[in-house]
Amino acid sequence: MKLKKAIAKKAGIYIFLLSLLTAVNLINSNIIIGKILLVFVFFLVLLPLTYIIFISRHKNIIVPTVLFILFLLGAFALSFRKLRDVMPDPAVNAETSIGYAQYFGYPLYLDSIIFFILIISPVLFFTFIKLIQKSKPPVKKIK
Amino acid sequence: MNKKILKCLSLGVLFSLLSLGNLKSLCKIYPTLGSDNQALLLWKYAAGIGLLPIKDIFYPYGLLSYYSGQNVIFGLIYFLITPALFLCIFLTFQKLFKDKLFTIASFIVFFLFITIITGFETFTRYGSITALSILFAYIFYSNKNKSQKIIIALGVLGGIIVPLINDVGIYALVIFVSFSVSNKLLRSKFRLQASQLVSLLKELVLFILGYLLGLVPFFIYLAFTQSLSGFIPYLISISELAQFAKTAFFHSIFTADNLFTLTILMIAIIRLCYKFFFGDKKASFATYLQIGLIIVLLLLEQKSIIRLIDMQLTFIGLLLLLTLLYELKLSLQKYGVSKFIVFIYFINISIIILFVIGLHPSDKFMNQYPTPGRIISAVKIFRNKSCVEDNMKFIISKNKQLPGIKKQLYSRKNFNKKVFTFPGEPIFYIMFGQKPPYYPTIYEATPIKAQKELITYIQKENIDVILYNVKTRSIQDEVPDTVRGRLLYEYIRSNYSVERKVGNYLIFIKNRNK
Repeated sequence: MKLKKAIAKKAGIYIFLLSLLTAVNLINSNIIIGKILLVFVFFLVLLPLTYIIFISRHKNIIVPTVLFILFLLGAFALSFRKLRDVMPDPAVNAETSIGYAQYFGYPLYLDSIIFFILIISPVLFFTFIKLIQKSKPPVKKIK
Repeated sequence: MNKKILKCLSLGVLFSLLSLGNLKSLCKIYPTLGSDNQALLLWKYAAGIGLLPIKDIFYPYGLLSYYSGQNVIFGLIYFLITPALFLCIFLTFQKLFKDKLFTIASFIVFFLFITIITGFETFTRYGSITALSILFAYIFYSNKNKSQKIIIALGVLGGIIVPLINDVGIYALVIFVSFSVSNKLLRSKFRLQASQLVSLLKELVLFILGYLLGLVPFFIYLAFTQSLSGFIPYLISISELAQFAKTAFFHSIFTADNLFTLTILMIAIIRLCYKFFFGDKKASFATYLQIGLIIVLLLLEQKSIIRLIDMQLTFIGLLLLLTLLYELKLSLQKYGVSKFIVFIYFINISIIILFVIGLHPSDKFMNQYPTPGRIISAVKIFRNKSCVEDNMKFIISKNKQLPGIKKQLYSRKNFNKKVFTFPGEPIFYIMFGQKPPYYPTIYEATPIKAQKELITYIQKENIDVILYNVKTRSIQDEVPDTVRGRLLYEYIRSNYSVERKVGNYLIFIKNRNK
């Protein structure tokens, strides 16, 4: 009940700040200032969602999931060139169609594989957490 | 009349009026002479001179857009798709939000997004797939035990769409299969029994039967137009497209459009997975809708991975975001936040999406609105069929080289008024009023088989003159056209010799001694 009241109380201030920042963003014509303002706008827009996640009972699952996906993104970004070189180039012979991938030696399925791994990563992560939860012995309640 | 039908009809009329600006898609005046614009104009010309897609000319988009500028019925259907899609989106919002204020506000935001960012033409094309997925979501959600008739009817619908809008019809099959599997998993709470597996298989068989039934008129059309033998090579050409059209995807991922769509897609996937793994597992209409939109986005992202279409997909991202915002709205209200504040939050987000984050408009904003001139010219298209002529007049007035080349060639003795262009400037086929080759440019003719077909065309049509634009090194993807079209280029070099240069064009003349 206290939490509800606190949220309802702060919602007014929050919406005022968000509206003000949106209006400033609309008026602003400076590109650099615009980008800085955009960061603040994103922060403010995502605040309610972040808050709800942090007060939920599953925050210990959602936060690591987001971190895991960000880690995957970073890992792919850093190793992209290596992966591109490791993956085989499309085969070229007299009968092959020569498009971008064949001409520049770009692996045909690299993008699809990375995309698939990223999309499937929440499922894999949640499955992993479920398995860990199941393997833990249930906590006995003290009577 | 039933109140609901009357309401739908009045909304349909309203949305038709709002989409009047889309009439311009029936006859566009192409401002530049890019190879894409030339190919699009050539297809309009081909439809005008009675060439059949699949049989006479490579056209991978379906009969509806091919004949939309030629045939009143096709033009009308093409135009009416847009208001029908808007109606579908409006009814979906109504069912989802169950709140007048949010339904109307969401629809206004969506409509503004289409007019400012997406454009009617793109919306008509990719919105059809989205609407189909929404329809499947609605049917799978509301009918726990779907009758066999409904499943067959959906299959027939999917089959009928194939010839009209090729990719939508093919996607319909994939979307249904994905929905069918997801639905069984949801209903069984992810513990599929043998009986449910049997029922799933039965559902899929019925849908495929309906789908094949829906394809019957298409095959009758193919047989009637003697295009049946060309259908398999056409399908092979389409499948080969992915091989040579593939460009790098992750190099261009950091566009506002890509980031917008992919972030929402990822959030939606995490949200759904979280719900199914740790939440209540109860599937609402919003859940089904999210599944449908995720399937569509995943399918279209595969297309985008081959060739970037990030600007075309943002509106599906917006729809997905609206379903997520709806859930956020419920959560916020649960925590005691007033409806007014939630509404202001929603308006702020809408303004940020529309004007702040920098999504790229795929068409000019003002192009979407109906003006008397646009409506009159659309009516004129069907009366005079003057779209191609109007374009030609405009192009020739802007490009003085074209009449120069025409004059030069007409002054030649025994000129049979037929040319071939390399790497591909289809404008010349229209200018000389000749039957164009099956593939309009070397890009579509990248496969060796296709190049062989172009060589056959040159031989069969007895072409003496080949126009080669030396300024165009590569018409697509920075791949030199002499490499992309190596077989054809070698054929030209060994059978034709340069006679002179007019502007950017080398005029190759057939070697007589061979």
